[in-house]
Amino acid sequence: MNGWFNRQISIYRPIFLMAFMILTSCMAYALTHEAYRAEAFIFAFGLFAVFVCGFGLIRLLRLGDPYLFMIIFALIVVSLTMLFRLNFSIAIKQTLWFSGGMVGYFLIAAVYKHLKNPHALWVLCPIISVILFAVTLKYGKVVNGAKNWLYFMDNRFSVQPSEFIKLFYIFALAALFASKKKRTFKRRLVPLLLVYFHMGCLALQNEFGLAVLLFLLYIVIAYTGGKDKFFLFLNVAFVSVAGVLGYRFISHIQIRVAMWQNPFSDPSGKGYQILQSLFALASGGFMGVGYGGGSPEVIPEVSSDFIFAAICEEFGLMGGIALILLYFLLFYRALKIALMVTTGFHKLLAVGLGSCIALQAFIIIGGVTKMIPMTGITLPFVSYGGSSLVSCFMAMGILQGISARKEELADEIG
Amino acid sequence: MKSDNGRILHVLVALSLLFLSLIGYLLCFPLFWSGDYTDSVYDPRTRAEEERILRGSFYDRKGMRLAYSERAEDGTQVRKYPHGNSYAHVIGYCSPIYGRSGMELIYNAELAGKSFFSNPFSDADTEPMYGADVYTTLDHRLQEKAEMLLRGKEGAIVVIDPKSGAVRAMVSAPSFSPVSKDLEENWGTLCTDSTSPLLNRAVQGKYAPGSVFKIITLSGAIEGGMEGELFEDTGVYTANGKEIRNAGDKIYGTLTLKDAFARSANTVFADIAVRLGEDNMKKLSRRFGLDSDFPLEIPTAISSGGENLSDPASLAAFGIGQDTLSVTPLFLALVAGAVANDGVMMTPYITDQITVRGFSVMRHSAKAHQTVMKESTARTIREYMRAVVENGTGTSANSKHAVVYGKTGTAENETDKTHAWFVGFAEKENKESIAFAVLWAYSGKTGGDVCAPMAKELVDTWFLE
Repeated sequence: MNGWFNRQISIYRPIFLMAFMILTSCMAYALTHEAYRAEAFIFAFGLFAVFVCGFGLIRLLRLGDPYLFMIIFALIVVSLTMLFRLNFSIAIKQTLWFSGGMVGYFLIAAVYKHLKNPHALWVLCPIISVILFAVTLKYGKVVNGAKNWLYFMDNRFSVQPSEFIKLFYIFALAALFASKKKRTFKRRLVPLLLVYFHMGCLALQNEFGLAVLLFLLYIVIAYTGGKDKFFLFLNVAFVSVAGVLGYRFISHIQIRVAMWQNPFSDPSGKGYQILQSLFALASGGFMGVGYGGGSPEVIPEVSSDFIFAAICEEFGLMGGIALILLYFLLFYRALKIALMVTTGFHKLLAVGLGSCIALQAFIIIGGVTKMIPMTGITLPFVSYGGSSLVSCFMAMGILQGISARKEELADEIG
Repeated sequence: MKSDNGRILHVLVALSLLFLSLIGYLLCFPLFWSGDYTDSVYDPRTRAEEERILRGSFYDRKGMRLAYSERAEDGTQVRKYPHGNSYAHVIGYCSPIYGRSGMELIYNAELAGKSFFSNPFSDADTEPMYGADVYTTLDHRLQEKAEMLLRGKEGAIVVIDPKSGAVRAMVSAPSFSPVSKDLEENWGTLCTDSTSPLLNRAVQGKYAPGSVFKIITLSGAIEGGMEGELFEDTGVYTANGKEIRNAGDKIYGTLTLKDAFARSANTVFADIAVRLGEDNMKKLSRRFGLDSDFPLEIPTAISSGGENLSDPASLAAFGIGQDTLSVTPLFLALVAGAVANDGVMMTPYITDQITVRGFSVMRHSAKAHQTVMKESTARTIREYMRAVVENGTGTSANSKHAVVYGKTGTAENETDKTHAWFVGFAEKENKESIAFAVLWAYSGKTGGDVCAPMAKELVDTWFLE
């Protein structure tokens, strides 16, 4: 029995809502880009068709939670609306990534639904992570101070392995903390090794934002797993000390903190990017200057890390807050799924995947608005970037698959 | 699994709080912090906005254009200064790199069309937009003449209308070209040059006034009832062991107050200052505006001096404009203006009105700054200042076209080259009068020799139309 549609929600309501959202975005684009009017409407129609198909597919294949896909699709509409206004060619590329991601999403969800003992796959995860890290450290290219890009085919195609490592990490941690076996010293050591190995490799790549994200995920998963609170506390204390030491000795972190405290101390150098972002926010105010009315293109990296500043400039902080609420809804659905499934492993995995999206959104939005120091990670589903988009779709695909398995009862983990 | 679910709810609450704090922060941003990030010079939007609106112009009192902006072929704006270096200090420069100075800085918002009254309802996309225009009280002929007179020297000229306080000319030398292209070329030298060409000496340069300050001492003497007295000059006055002598070590013998003023007898005025005493001299000079700011549009330096008047030697030197006295040319022009205006010092101003598309949105009205002496005192001083020009130290200021009143000054300073001053006013029936201060700093010459003739030229320019 599939319980997700039991409450008799009309299927027309979400479809009508999405039609309205896509139509508004499309009209905004058509009004500001006269040369592409017809194309905009065709594109919008296509987008809507994809949504209807996806929504139908979830019902048809009994893939569980119907809201998850809606929220993700709303984020995608926001992303494409902004990207088409910022840079036409990368928006086209993002559309391709989006199509690929969607296919992956449904494939993973459908496969995961029927997978027997998926938690047993966790041993593969550290192995894949080690390989990806090794390849990145050896062949990776440095982009914006972090060595985290792999280039293929004469630099025409690039992958950010850390976006995928994140998923394997969550999967492995969820499996380890869900284990019912007695906590021996060895069993305590394995997850710990996993956490510090990942953080160490990310630190070597200068990806401190992601290292922080992974550690926060460790806290969330270990806390939900509920074993060894004292041990968890010890680790938090240890990493705090390591963080302070890192701040003392790593200039990269010092610069980020200094620019957070006073971006005007180097307005045309290190503080340039965050200042441009804040100028965009200030220029947008509460209600924004309107779609196409601002000049967010002056912000470096505006289509990837800093897309939230562009959204705030044109749609105002109200638009920004609406986007934050979408992330909150997504996170809420993930925890709802975690509450509804019965296996410990899947509870932890759902919490981990949901928290990953939520924390990532918080870290980057807080960073571009100068609430917390800036760290370069992407805004899930909204930032431009194939690796990021596909990995987010994969994460949510697994979540969708988990929600489809809700009927499973036994504690197979034993 | 019950406890598991409890902990999942904890995670939900914790991250919800995180999201709430983020939303709270974002709501606070436009309320409290966005001011730090608007109109910043580092924001390309500010620049683009200013580029979109054609910057307003400056005009002199007769409508002659002094500075304006034009669109270049590529659509960018170019600031033009059609009169070379003449207005480099008072109007200033407007550079995309070095910012703005002078009136360009003070009225930047209005000129750039950012101020609330400048362009309320125009449609940005369809019409060209213009910033507000500033009509100054400056007189182009006088300004150009003053600039010419100071060329190659170090000094300043300030000319005001004594009845209203309107500034007619304000020139500082050495000057520079305010054109952006020239600034970019010369910025390094302009900043490091020992003669500080960027400094507006007329309002921000501070110099010892020398004998010109005797106008103020004289007003104290007259109001202290010394007008009828005869003074015995022995060529030297000693106060607290320090000797004060007349210029050129002259000995004048018995002098009336008027003669002592006309010949600028140091001994007599040192004696007067000591007799008036510390308190009186302090009050007197404060009344004339020492140690206080004049509310001019552009920033002015505060004229100062007389910190240790309890020492009679200092007090004596103070009476003849030495000691620690250091004043701006504007200050002395205002003192002369007060004499011409029967003892009332007017508030100086440079902006006559600001217009938007020909409509006046702000018009300046003359305001009295302070009554610095009795009307009768002013009339007596006027007579004395006339004597200086008729048969005293300032005879070369005499003009055929107006009646000139004045006082010369030759001030000692930290170098061995004296400052030459001529400060006064000129009147003619049915014509607006002018009050002026002419300074040639570090000239090594006397005010009567070099500055009085410059003042005459200014007077001729003004009254001969």
